[in-house]
Amino acid sequence: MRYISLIVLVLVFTANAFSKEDLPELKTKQALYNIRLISNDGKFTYYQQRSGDLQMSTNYSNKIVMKRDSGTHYLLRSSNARKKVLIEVIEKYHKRLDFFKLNEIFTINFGQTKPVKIGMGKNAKLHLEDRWVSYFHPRVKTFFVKNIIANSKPLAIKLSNKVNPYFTPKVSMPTPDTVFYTDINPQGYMAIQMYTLSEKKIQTVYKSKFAGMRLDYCIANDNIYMGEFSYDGVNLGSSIVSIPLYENAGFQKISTLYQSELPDIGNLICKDSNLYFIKTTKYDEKINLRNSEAARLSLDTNKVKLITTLNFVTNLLKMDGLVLIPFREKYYVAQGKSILNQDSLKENNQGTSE
Amino acid sequence: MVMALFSSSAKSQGLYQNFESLLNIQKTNYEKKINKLSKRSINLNRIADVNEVELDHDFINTLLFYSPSRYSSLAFKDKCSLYDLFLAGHIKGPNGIVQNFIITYQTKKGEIKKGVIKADTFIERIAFLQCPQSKKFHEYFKIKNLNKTAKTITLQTPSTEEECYDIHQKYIQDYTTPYLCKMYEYIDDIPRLTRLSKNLSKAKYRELQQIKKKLRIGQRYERVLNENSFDFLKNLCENIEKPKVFCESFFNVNFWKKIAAGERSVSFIQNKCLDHLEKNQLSSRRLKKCAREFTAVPEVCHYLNKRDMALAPRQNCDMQSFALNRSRLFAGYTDCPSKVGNEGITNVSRVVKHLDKKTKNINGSSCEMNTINTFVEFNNEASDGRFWGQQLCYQNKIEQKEECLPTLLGDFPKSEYSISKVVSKILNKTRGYNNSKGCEFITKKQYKPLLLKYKAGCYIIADKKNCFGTDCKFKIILDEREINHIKLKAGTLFDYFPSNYLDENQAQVKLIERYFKKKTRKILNISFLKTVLNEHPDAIIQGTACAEDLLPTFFPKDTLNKCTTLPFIIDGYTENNGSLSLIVRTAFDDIHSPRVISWSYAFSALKAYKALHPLNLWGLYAIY
Repeated sequence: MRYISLIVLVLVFTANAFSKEDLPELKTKQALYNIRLISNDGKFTYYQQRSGDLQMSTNYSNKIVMKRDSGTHYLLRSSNARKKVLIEVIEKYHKRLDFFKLNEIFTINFGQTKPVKIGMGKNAKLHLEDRWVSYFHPRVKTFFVKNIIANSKPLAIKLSNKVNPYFTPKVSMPTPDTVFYTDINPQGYMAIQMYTLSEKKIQTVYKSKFAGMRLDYCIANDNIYMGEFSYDGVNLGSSIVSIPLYENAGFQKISTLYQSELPDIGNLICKDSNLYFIKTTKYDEKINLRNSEAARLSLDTNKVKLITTLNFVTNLLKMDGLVLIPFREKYYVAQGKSILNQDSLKENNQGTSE
Repeated sequence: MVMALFSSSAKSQGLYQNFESLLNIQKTNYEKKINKLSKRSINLNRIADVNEVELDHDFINTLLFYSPSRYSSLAFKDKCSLYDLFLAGHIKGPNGIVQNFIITYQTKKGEIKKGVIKADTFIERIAFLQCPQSKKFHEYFKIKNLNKTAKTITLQTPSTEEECYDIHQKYIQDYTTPYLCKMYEYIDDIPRLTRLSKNLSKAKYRELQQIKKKLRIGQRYERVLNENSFDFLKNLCENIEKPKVFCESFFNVNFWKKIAAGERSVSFIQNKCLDHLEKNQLSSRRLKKCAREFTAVPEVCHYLNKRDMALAPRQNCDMQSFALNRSRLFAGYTDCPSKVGNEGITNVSRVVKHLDKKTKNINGSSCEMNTINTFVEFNNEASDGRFWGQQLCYQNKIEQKEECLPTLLGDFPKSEYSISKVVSKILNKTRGYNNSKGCEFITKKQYKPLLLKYKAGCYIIADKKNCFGTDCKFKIILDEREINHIKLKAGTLFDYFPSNYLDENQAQVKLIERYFKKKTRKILNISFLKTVLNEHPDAIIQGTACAEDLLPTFFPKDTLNKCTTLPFIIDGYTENNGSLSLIVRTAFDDIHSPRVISWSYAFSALKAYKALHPLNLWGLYAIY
């Protein structure tokens, strides 16, 4: 049965793979390179100034969130819950090129300006209605999860990765008792692991088929959608599967949604009933050249569609509900409103993609 | 005419027989002509102008017909080039060595005549007058001048395919090429001549003496040429008329096999091989085994990373071999980027080593010390050490102030910054410790307080897991007591490229440019990148860009304007179907595992970095 569905999917993919569309560019009032976070309606913008200040602007006001030295760089992240914003402060950004350096991490209420420090680390992420955060210490290969409402002591989970000192795990918390994260074993096989806080046990959800494969995942609709992609210089094809989170003992039920013989870049994003990822359309193995485009896999129809014609798409990201494709100083909007620079108090319906 | 004869008789007699008869015809015609002309002796005094004397055209054709065909392309530059070929022993006649030359000349009375002249006389009295350079080259390559001449010759190994074709063309145009090929042929003939000299009966005394003479010359040449030069000349001389084959041998031969054959430094494979075989020592047998297995199973190279501690997975062995064949960065040492703890230091150190060409791979107390020490030494000389921020500080009670001494976070031979020397110096000032006893930098595991050895003296005990080039957790024990008054101040801050106009000249790229008196040029497009790498064999390109665009599979961009600054070095390129990829060592990769990265990725990464840089910097500069 699984084989039959696979054949159907491959056929569907072939028929629809190469239809393309032009995506709108993200338009903002502030210069894009200054913006660190913008709400999906453009009503408030967190941006950084050359002086080192982090500020928030709305239609009516402009407030300072943080004052730091020039040469400070900020990274801001929010989640679907829209209750908190995480701020990572990278000091001496141009003068200290140290991958392992830890950043200061703060939270502020969504749309507000009062920061509260929660710890030191990298790649901070919000979970579970913004009540939990995770952050990573690359030198000790340990990530921490912390309940910021209860201000609990962070729980440390050490990776078993010994093969790549520059590896950063992807961490998710679907329930207050479970943490999903990626890890690599000594032979270079990546796996998605599930840590149960109450039992302090680790269970493997999925292990990659080959060494050198990169697992990327997102969680939506009680499923883990998992992409198995190839790292740079590894060409072992690509696939996307769905794994039900519940009533799936040992995570044995796995359905294949997409397969390709080419090494896709991946960067899987779940948004509503779509999966977005970066698909390799052509690969010249001789000079390791990937032509790649952003692609959308509809979970309703199982159809894959290329949505850009940029040739060398390398990244995809989600920001306050918008799915963005950064490409050479521009951001294209794959899903959500693209015109966020209008002062009108009325809701505008212009520039909406999807 | 030759072709007509060849094809008509091929039908009836077969190719081999046809060729034999062609040789016979050539030989007969040649001998007839020589015999006929040798009856007329040439009086050189009757020749109107020696410079106008020419070799008979049929005679030239016969010589080229009997000489190795690969040298014919060297003969057509001008008449001197043919003389050079003769002097280097590459020209043969139907009977082997050419004894006589047939020439065309004009008498003083204005008559055009042909005649035969002894080869020696022709060379001395005519050829050397027409081509004084040939006389010079002939002298240079005589055995007595060989040592002196060898010092003036450099064989240029190509670093790009385009450059390779240029080099090949250059050697075809070079008048010394026949002489260089003569050296190669003599050396190449040594095994055959040795066998012959052993098997030949002593009765054939004269022949034996000839062979021994040739052997002596060959062995003399062998002493002057090293193995790599010999291989280069073998490739050149056997492929003079085949530039493609000549270049393929540089770029398409498996790099691992080149190492096993001793053509490239063992350091390129050392750490990978030791990891692969799980051994601590490399023998020639093990090296060959690794070269074989890396070739047979390219995926093996992805995670051989225990010693180098770099970004993994690396590209597979085939891709690495491909990149290393096109790479020029000096890499006669090993490094371990993640242990350094500063990508800027790793990159600066690699650039400095490339420009400095220090071949010694000196190891300090740990792998990263080599990289760190190169950075510190360079900055000491170029900027009075102002950018080295690791210091050990103590309270000077007499002067009532804190004093700090710069230090390495480990030991390095002969460095005054070695931590054991610095601690010993401070203890001497603060505790009257006998400086000459010194301190010992050891790991937690090595320190065994119960052993008698550790009951007295000074020990700096590092927590190996938490000790890196730019930060280290350690404690100091003096006579079994922990010392608490010495504190580490860590924080090395510097600009790789300028980040403001005030300190522009203090950025590392500027210091490197001034200290090594090199040129730097901004690289804005592919054609300039190719030009620089093709025209300057030592040129490398240094840059800083966003890891998220340069290596998107490793560092996904998950938020707006996320950019992990990543310095890198480009030292080669490759093209296919009009697309260009670069040979790149990022500061996350180890020195021996370059990556082949598309120019488009590099371009996006540079653009992303430029947008966030205070001076809007396009961070890609060639240095040569």
